[in-house]
Amino acid sequence: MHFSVVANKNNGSQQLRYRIAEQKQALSSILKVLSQNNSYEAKELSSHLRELHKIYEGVIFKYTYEEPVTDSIRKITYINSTTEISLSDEQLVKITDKIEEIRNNLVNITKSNP
Amino acid sequence: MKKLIIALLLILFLNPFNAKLGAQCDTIASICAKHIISSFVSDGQQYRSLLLNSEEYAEFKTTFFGETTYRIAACSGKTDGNLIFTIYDQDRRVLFSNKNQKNAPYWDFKIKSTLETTIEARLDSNKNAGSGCAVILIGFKQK
Repeated sequence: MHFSVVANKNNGSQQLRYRIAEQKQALSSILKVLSQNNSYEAKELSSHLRELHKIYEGVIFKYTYEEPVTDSIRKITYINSTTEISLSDEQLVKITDKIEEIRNNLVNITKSNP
Repeated sequence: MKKLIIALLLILFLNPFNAKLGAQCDTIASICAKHIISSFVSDGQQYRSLLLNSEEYAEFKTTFFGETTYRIAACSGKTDGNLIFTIYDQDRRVLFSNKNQKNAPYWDFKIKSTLETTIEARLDSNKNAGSGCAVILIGFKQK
């Protein structure tokens, strides 16, 4: 996530913006996994990630089903459904700032506990 | 109480049946891994579940990212074609089932746009009389 927001800051593109937005789903999964861990570090990280998740709550996904196409000879199915994502500039700035803050916290913890 | 918990944990971990199941799943996972050929990068996970009969099924939730090609390998037992896997979208519409493809042990998926899916795995009642370890492996490549 940090790589994507830094890359977007340096050389923003629609594709990067989309990639940052779609991390909403992965973030939800990480929070679910972390909720099963009672260690101090996990709780600390969860609390930061929940704040990030709150910002992501405003990112809207609109899923549209399309019929998949299967090529039985090549053993491949083309999943043609689409997901439109609505992410404002303001949300992107907030997400970027929060990710940098979380990353800096992690790096500082690692530095102080080598 | 503490002694009871320790005893239960010991029974759980030292139970030869559990150890056998773990070993069985390991073997199946290594057989299944041959379907994730070198052009695909494994997602690093092994989705495993013990299924007691063909009525039972396991569900794994996963996100497929857009503009990516995935390979899903599904195995149970030491031969191919024992496991039926079905992929559903977020609205529980069927996107694919290998049941319609002679229980193919692996299949590729070209994903246009990121979507949340559920992969359901169940033993084929025509091929499995009893229980079995279901293993799903996922590999991916860009474009």
